[in-house]
Amino acid sequence: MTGSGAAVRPGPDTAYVLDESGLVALARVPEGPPFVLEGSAALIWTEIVRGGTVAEVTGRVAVRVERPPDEIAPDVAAFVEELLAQGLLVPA
Amino acid sequence: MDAGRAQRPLDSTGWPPGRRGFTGPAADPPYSGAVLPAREIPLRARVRLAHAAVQALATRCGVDLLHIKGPAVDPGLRREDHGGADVDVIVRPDQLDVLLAALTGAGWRRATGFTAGSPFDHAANYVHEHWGLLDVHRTYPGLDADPGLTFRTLWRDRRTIQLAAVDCAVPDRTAQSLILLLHAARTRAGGGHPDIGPNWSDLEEEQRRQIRDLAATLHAEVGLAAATGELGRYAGDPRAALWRAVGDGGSRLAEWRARVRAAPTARAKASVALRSLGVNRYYLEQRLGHPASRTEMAREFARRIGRAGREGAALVRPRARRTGGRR
Repeated sequence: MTGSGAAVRPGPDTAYVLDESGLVALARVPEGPPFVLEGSAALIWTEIVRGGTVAEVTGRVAVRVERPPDEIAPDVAAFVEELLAQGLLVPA
Repeated sequence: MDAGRAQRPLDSTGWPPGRRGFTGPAADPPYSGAVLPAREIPLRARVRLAHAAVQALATRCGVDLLHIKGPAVDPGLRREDHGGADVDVIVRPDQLDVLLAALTGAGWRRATGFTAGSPFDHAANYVHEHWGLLDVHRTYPGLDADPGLTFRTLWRDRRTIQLAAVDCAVPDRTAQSLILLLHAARTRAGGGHPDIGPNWSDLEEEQRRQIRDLAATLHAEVGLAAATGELGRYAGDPRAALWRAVGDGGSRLAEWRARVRAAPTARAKASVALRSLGVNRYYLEQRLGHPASRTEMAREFARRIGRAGREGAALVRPRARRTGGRR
């Protein structure tokens, strides 16, 4: 389990596109497959690539969705764990 | 916010009710959706991912390549946003076989070979279930210098950009302009191709001189002249007839005749003539919408023979009438 004080970043073989429609398309290349993130997932990814610890990412996301950080922290952490398991994120 | 745990619907602040918002393999919880087929990913995003995928493969096998066209083009060189529908790369010629083997090993399927894609024999086309279409160029149509020299020249002056957050090498602006001009010259859009302005008409004389100098180095003068409306300067050059045929939108037969004339040796001419009647299975299947049967391949071959005959007759008839008029 990645702690909230840990920083994460896209993996060395992760390609991603922040689409103008608000979607994020990403994949481990060259194999794939491609994934699409939308809504909250796209928002979290956008903040992850800006850098910082999971707690900092959570804080920025919380501001954008106007929710208390404590309320969304478990879900952000769970989502980060999923991306780490897929290899799309790695510890920074 | 998590669909699995949220007890109340969320508002429009970005948290989608009822789901995590992450789509992944359906059979692999906790993901909620399915891997989206390539066609369901926005084209602009998929093409960028595809560039990144090809670059990652090239890096892995130590192959140098340059990304051209589509999102690899400097935005200032095009009036409109051309995200592209496929990936185009030029590969260092002596590493071509390495890349093609790697592509096959990575799930890319060859759709057409180097001799089937266009009158210039310049690219092989590949298809991948996730990434879509890829054109692998061993050189670019109109760059008539030795492909090795061409690649070394373009590679020497390369720039690096990021496509889908992956570093990709691209030609410098001068070379990009030359490539766009050559592409415009063989696109049947008359003299009004939108790429002519930002890459020639609107440029300062010094910028045009740089493009002319590069064209001279890469033996691209004829193609450049075709783009800039100066093809008359090369009236006796068989390559000029080929550019005129592809740029003017003449008949398929006229295009092939020009291609035969432009072939440098008798053997090459014979090879081109023979191939002109061949059936490209990939294009036929694209048209049919299903795998082509032997019967359909044979029928298409007969159709091509017949069309060549009709176009040949059409070319002959006006000439005969003119001849008759003179008598």
